[in-house]
Amino acid sequence: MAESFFEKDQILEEDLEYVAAVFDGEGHFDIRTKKKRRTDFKVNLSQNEYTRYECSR
Amino acid sequence: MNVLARVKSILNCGSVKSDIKFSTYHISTKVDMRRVVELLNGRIRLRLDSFMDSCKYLNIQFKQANYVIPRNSTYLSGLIDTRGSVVFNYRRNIIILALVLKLNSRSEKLNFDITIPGIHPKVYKLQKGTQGKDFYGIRFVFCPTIDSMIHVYNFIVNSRNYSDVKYYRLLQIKNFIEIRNFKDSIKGSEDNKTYCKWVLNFISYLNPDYRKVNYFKELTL
Repeated sequence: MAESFFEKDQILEEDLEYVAAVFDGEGHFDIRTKKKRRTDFKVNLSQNEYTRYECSR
Repeated sequence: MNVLARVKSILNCGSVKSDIKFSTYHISTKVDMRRVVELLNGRIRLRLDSFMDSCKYLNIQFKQANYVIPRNSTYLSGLIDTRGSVVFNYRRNIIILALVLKLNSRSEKLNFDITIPGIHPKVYKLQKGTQGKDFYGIRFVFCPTIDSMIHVYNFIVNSRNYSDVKYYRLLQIKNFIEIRNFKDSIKGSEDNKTYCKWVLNFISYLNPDYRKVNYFKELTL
């Protein structure tokens, strides 16, 4: 696996790809609008992984 | 949640809060948001509308990501941790790794053909739900055959996942390949007991409802 570092923060490229996927999967980039009250970024994950990813299907 | 703890550790900012149902990773300062957008710019492939709004809000030029996901990419690991499922199919006697995403022009562009060496995932389009509440999804299946399971195992060993349940289950693949033929051995034999023990171990890990599977009564120890 490539071990190139992101220059500015010294974060591994592969770690940034992991974070990007987590945001793509369950993340929210909320910018304040008339409907949304605040600007923030978040990722919500269920505490019970089994319930969410298997029983529900 | 190990997934969110890992994200916090990588980004070195934000906070993780948990209640009974959910864990939430949260970034709320503009300095941190700017840094995270700069770090993730060119890597976000699905949440594009809100990410582009964020770029605009922070006056950062948006960069397009590559939708052909490279060999052994941890991007797939992150999607497995958040949107993936690792399920044991008793009837087919196979462990299936699948990814279900909302169907849209972005998810349709995702290409995992070279991500796991040796595997060309099967892609299905799904429609679920009743009228007015339809869900259109896209499903990528990475273990469509018995032979493909070992490739998924090799990928997981190299790339690491942080979801406890999924990582644990995927690590059982290698052992499963050795004992899966014991399913058809005589009930009560040592081989059959070994198989049943493996199944029980697989389905019961962090799963209090494991007795509800429809084949539970067929497992004899």
